[in-house]
Amino acid sequence: MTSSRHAGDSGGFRKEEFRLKVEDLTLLPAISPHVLEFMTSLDDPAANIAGISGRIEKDPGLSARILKVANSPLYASRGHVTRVIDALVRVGLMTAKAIIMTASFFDSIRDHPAVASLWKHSMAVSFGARKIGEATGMTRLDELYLAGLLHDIGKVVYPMFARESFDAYLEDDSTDPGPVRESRLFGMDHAELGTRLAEAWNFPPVIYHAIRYHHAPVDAPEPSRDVVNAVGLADRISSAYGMGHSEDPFVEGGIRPLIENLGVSSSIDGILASVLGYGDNIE
Amino acid sequence: MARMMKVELATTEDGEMIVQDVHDMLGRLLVRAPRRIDPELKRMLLARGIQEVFIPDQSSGDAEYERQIVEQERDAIRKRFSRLQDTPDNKRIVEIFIRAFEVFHAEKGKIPPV
Repeated sequence: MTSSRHAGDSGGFRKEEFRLKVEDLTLLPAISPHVLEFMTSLDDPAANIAGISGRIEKDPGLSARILKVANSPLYASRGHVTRVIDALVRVGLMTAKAIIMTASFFDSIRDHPAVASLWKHSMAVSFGARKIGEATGMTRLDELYLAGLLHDIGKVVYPMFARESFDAYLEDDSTDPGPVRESRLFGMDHAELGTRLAEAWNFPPVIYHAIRYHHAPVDAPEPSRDVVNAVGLADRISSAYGMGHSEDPFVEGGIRPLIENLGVSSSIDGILASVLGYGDNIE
Repeated sequence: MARMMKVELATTEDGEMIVQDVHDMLGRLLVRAPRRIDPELKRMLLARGIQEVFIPDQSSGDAEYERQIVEQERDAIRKRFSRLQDTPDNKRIVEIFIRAFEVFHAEKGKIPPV
């Protein structure tokens, strides 16, 4: 492999160094001790929800995030919760894990101008995917929320480790699709990058399939296809309505096949209205 | 095209809509319109030497202002779809998205019923 340096990186960015940093990230060294402790406890078969709740309560920021999601419009019909343990029961441990991982990553780039749009997009896609799941009678709605939340987690890594190249990427007016430009600049696109992380962090296959194939749902393995289609459609809806960070979501396949494969032709108006309403309230 | 006015970035309120793309002195795109101003965006633009931005001209009243915002956003949706292949299927999809957007804002009273 040849060394490749991007001209816009005064720090001397190299693709192979970036790849090594990503490999380090799969071991979770970059996150706070509380998050690490929480993540470890989730993989412990002997862990109980009271113990996990106690660990989260050590960190007011984490507690607030879990409570906020548990009291969000997604769970509005179930009343208000004020205790972390009740919030965990409501959202589920896997969703809590995704929320905390995602928030931890976003925190690390909070001073970057793109962070707000990346966050808004992730929230909108997680909401939209769940709404699509409701409209189609899917039963594992939490998986849809989680897959939507994590589908672009790979993009957050670029400003973490290659900020100047990421800035150049955002300013690039090339007509090439985003993943093509990402591969060119960073050596791997955000779908590949996010898949590596989600696999390493022990998320189930349906989650990393959604990350891997959300731009090309037709290539997704059959058991995960519905979830991937839902995330793919939610991704395109969110981007179309400006809850995105990219202007080129529509060069990578059409929208109609997703609508037809999911069987939401008759309910698409309601889904679009729900996402628009949710987008107005994302902080 | 809706009317717009140039204002000092430092004095704009959070939530105000930037309605014209913002470029730096080298012509690089910093913000693609429409985009709401938030504290982080304002700080980033000021740090890059941007002192003025275009927002909708509200002199014609709140209703007109809301209509202009919706109009800007509708144009932006069409622009985002502009790279879709020009097929009857895709045109239909664009119209479904635009109509849902118009119905949503009509129900909120921002534009006349559609």
